[in-house]
Amino acid sequence: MTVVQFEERAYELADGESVLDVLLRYGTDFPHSCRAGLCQSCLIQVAQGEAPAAAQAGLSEQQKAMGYVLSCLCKPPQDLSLRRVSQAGLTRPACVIAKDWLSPEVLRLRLMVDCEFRGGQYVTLGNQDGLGRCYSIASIPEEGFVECHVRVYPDGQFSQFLAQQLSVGEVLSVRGPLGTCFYTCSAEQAEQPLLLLGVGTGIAPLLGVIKTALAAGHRGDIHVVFAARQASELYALAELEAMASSAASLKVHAVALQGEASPELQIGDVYEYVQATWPSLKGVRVFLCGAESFVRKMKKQCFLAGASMREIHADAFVMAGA
Amino acid sequence: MSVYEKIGGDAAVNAAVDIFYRKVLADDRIAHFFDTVDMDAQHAKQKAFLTMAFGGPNHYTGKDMRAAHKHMNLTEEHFNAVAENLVGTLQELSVPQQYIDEIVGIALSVKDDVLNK
Repeated sequence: MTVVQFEERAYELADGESVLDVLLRYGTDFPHSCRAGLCQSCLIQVAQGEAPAAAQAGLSEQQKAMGYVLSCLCKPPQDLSLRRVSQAGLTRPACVIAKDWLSPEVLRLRLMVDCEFRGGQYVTLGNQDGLGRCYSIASIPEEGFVECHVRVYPDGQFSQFLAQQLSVGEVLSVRGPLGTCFYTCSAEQAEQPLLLLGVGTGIAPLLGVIKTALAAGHRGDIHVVFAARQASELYALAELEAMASSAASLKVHAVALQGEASPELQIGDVYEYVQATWPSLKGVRVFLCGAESFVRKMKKQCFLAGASMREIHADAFVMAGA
Repeated sequence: MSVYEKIGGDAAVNAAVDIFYRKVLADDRIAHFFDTVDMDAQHAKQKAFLTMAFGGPNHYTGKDMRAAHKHMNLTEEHFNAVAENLVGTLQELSVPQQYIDEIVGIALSVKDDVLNK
């Protein structure tokens, strides 16, 4: 008899029963719709045990890497422990080991934290007052720390706390990591061109993606477009250019709405620039990070330009109440 | 053998779904139903729809179809637009006409439920 653990309860699977079947049979409220492995409403995450491959049919490489399965197709041969995919993961302490200004508005934090993560995922940082905000990870595990880029707002409660009160050596809480905007590398993906599009601190998760891809020996071209309103807001350009000087496959494009054009800087609208530079995105893997409005508009544009939906990875930043 | 199996099963749906979704997003008659915030969720729904239309595995009932479309105020024109895009997608993939006819037949069989007639 196979038993699955879910939310502190044990469920015994009857013959031929799926995880979704047994959850519903016990009266547990669980989202579902097509019951045929298509709609992905009933995704669940394996916390312990082996995810049955048949229950991951049609999932993205990112979802598979995180142990997601379709509960309606999941008929595990062995016991499994499962959790809801929306669960934010464990909260851990993180020691601040460095705090530096990358520009007058962007603060870089480096944290020592004992958790697995992938560059491009995000964590929720919190303080003792119970305040917390999500930040993307710009580093990779090989660097030995979690790096976040914090846009500091004049009336941002949490960003002002980080900027004004937090000192190196102090401890924050870290929850997560979460998010599927990270690089994965199967044999056929290693040659594929990558297009990374980031606005503002949206460049942070893309730095994580670039570092992961280069460390994994990605062979296709990697084009990164870093966009902002003002040229002065392109705070990570020097770091990107330093990376590009030692990696021939990495090409950096800087686009600002306002500023002085130069060989390194395009002045104009990022949507038009992307459209003109890559009229067809067929076969290109796309990563999009930045404000929600940017991600939404750019995702549609990239899809209509021929990128496959399965190969558009996005992380939209949602503003918390100040 | 269902038409779903004849045209290549899940791989056929995967080949069709991006093409179909691009077509409906570009179709002014129906784009507003599909142009939602969560494109990934919408994409999964298109895949479920195509699998059903191809006669593949699904558990949709007439009742599900009615409930899902109930508040959308759909008309014959909307249904026909979806059907045209479906045919256009299949033609683009060089699916033989006899299979296209079968698929259109399946789509027509849920028409009354979709339009809540």
